[in-house]
Amino acid sequence: MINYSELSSHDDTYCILGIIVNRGQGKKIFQFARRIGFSKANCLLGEGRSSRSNRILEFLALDEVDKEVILLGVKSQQGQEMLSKLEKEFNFDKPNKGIAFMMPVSYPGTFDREYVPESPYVNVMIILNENVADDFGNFVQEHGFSGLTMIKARGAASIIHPLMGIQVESAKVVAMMIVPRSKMEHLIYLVSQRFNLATENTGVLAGQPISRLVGIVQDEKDDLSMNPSAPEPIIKQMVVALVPHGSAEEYLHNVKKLGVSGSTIIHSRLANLSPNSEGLLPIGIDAEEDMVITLASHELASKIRHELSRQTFENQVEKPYAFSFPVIRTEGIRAEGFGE
Amino acid sequence: MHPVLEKFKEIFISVIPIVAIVLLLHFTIAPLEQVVLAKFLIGALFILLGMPIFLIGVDISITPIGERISSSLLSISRLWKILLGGLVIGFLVTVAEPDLHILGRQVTEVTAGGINSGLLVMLVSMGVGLLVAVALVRVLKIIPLNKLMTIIYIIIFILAFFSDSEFLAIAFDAAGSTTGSISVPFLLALSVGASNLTRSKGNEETDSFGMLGIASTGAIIAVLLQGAFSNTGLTGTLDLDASVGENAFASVLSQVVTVSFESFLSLAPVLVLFFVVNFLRLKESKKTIRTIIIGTVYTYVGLVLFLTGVNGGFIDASRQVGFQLASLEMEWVLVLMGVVFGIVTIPAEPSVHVLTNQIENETAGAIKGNTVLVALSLGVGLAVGLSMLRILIPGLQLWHILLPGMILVIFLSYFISDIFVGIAYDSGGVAAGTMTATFLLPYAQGAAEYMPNANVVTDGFGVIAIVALIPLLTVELLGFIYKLTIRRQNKKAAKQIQTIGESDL
Repeated sequence: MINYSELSSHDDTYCILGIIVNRGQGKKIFQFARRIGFSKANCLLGEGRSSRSNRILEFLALDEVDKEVILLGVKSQQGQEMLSKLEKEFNFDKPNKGIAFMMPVSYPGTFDREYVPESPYVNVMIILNENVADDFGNFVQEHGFSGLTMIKARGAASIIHPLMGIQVESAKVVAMMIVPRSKMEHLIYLVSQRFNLATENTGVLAGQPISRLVGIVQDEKDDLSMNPSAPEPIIKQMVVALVPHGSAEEYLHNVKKLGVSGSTIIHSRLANLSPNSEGLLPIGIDAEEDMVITLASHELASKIRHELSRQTFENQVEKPYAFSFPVIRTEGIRAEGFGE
Repeated sequence: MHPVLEKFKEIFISVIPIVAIVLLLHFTIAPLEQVVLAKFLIGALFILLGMPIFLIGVDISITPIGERISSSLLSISRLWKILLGGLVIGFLVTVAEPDLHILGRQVTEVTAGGINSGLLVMLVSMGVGLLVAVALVRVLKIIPLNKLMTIIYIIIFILAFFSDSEFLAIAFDAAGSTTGSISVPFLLALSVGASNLTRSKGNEETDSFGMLGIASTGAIIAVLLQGAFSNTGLTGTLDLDASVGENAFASVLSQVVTVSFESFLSLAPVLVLFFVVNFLRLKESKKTIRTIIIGTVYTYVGLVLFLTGVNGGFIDASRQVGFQLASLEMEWVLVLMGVVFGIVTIPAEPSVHVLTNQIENETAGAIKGNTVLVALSLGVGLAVGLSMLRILIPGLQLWHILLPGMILVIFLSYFISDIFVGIAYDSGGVAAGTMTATFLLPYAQGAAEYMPNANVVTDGFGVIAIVALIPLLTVELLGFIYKLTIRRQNKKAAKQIQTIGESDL
C-alpha cells in the first residue's frame, strides 16, 4: 500500500494516478484499487462533457454526464502497470468509458526546475467563476476541444456579502482538460481572450505535464510529436493540500503569513476502500476533506508544505498532507501564490 | 453503459419491488380484479418509462433553474427585494400544484362548503411563499435550521391547540400536497443555489438543505390559521371515485388528458420564473437556454407518463389490496403489509432520487444516497404501519402520534450535524410525495372502507401527515449514528497518527 506521506521519499518517482469515470462506476474502480492493495482513495465529484462529441447526444442535450474523479498516489512503475490493467479491465480504449492518467509529482525541497516530457499530452486546469461554467463548456466545445471535466469549488479569496456583512467564498469551478501539448497554446489563447484572464477576478489557468495516459480519443489531425531531449522549464508549483473538511480556512489562515493570497477549495472525500468498515451499523462512512489548490513559486510551495507538516486539525482522520504538481504554463496570475 | 441507460436501470431496480409485492399478494392472499391488475401492470410500465425521463429532465432543467434563481436572488443587495422574490417564487410554484387543488376540493366537500377551496389554495400558497422568504432570511442571517424549526414548530403547536383535531390532519396533509413532483426538486435546488453564495468559514454546506422543510410548514400554518378562524367542523362526506372502465389500457390512457393539463400547470410557473429572471439578471447563453428548454420537455413528458401510470394504475390496485387485506380480518397482516408497502414505495418516488442525488453532490459522495434512502424507506414503512394502527385502534388519535413525533424531531435536531438537520426536514416533504398520495393513501383508504368503525375521510387524511413526519425521525437517527461513528473513527485515527509520529512531508 502506497501512502501519500511516502511521496516524499527520494528513491523512486512518485505520481498521482487520476481516473475519471462516469458517476456510479467509481465503486468498480475502488474494488480494483483494493485488489492492488490500496485502502484509501481521494474522490471528487464533477460533471463532464463526453470526450467524443456525439451529435445526437448534443442535439438531445444529453452530452453532459456526471463524473467521478479518483486520485491515487502511486510509484511510477506501479502506476504504469495499473494503467494497462485499467485499460483492459474497464475498456478505456473504447470511447466514453473513462480515462486514466499519471501526473508527475514534484520532489519537495529539491523542486526540479525542468521537466523532460514523457507524453505528448498536458493537463490544462482552469479555475473560473461558477457563473461562467456553462459558457466555458460551450465555448471550448465549439472550438473543437473535447473531454472536459468540471468540478464545483469555492474561492478562498473572500468577498463581503452585501447583506450578510460577513466574508463569503465565491463559487468557482475547476475545469480539467487533457489536450495535446501542441494544442495547449491555442487553447490558452482562446480561453484567456474570451474570459479576460488578464483582468482581476476572472480566473486562472495552469498547464501541467502528464506522464502517461490511457483512454483518450486520439484525433488523427492532432500533432502528437514530442521532443524528449528538450526539457521544458517548470515555472511554478501547484500545491494540493488535503485537510479535514471544514479546516480549509484554518489552513489558509496559517499559510497566509507565508505569502499565499488566494486558493481554491474543492470539497472531496477520502473513500475508505477496506471492505469491513467498523461502526454501529454496516454503513461505510468516508471522511470528507477539503482539497486546497494553490499556485505558488517553488520557494513558497516548499514553505507551505513545511508549514502544513506542523499543523493538526480537528477531526483529522489522517495527517494532513500535500503534494505539488509541476506547472509548465500559467495565465491570469497576478500576485505571488495567487491560485484563485 | 451510457448514463441515460444507467438511469433506466436504476429506476427499474427501484420500481420492481413494489410491482413484485403486489403480484405476490395477488397470487396469494389479496387477489385483484383482472381489470385492476391489468391497469396496475400497465401503470407500472408507464412509470418505468416516465420516471427516468422525468429525472433526466429535472437534472438539466428544474435543478439548474432553481439554483440559478436563488443565487441571483441572494446576490441582490436589498433585503426587501429578496423577501418579495422569495414570496413570489414560493407562491407561484405552490399555487400551480395539482395535488393542492384536489385537497382544496376535498376540504370544501368534507366541511360542507365551510371552507372555500380557492381561498384555501391561496392561503396555503401564500403560506409557502412567506416561509420561502423566511428560509432565505435564515440563510442570510445565518440562523441555525434547528433553532428556526423549533420556533416554527412551537407556532404550529400553539395554533394546533386552538383547532379541531381533524383540521390538524388537513393541515399536515396540505403540507404534503404542496410538495409535488415539480416543486420538490425546485425547492431543493433553491437551497443549493443559496449555499453556493453563502459559503464561509464554518458554514460549508449547511445551507444546501432545509428550504423544502421550511417551506412546507407554511402550508400547515396557513390551514391551521384558516381552521381556527373559520369555525367549521368536518360534517360533509367524501365520495371516493370508484374505478370505472372495462378496458384497462383505455382506462389508464383516459388519465392522459387531465394529467397533461395538470403537469403543464405545475411546470409553467417554473419556466416563466426562469425566463423572467434570465431576462432581468442571468442572461444565459443560447445553448444553456436550449438545454433548459429541452430538459423541460423531458421533465414534462416524463411527468405525464409517470402520473398517468400512478393515477391510472396504482390508486385502484392499492385501494383494492387494502380492502382485501382488511377483509382477511387479521389485523397484523394489515399493519405488516403497511410497513412493507411503505418501504417499497419510497424508492419509486421520483423526488427521493432528486434528494439522494443532491445529498451525494453536496457531500462529495461522503453521505451515500442509498444510506439515506434506507432510512427514509424504514421511516415511511413505520409511518404506514402507524397509520394502519390508527385505523385499527379507534382510541389512537392523530395527535397522539404527531405531538410526540414533533417533539422528538426537535429534540434530536440539536444532537446531529447541521447538514443532517437540513436533510431530515427536507425528507418529510420528499416522502409525502406523489407515490404516497397514489399508493399509500389509497391503501389506508381501502382498509378503512372495510372497517366498520373507521372513517375513510378522517383516517385517510392523517396518513400523509404521518408519512411526512416519521421519516424525519429516522433520518435524524441516521445522522446521530453518523455522528457517533465518525467520532469513533476520528478517535481511532488520532491514536494512529500519534503512533506514526511526525513524518516528513
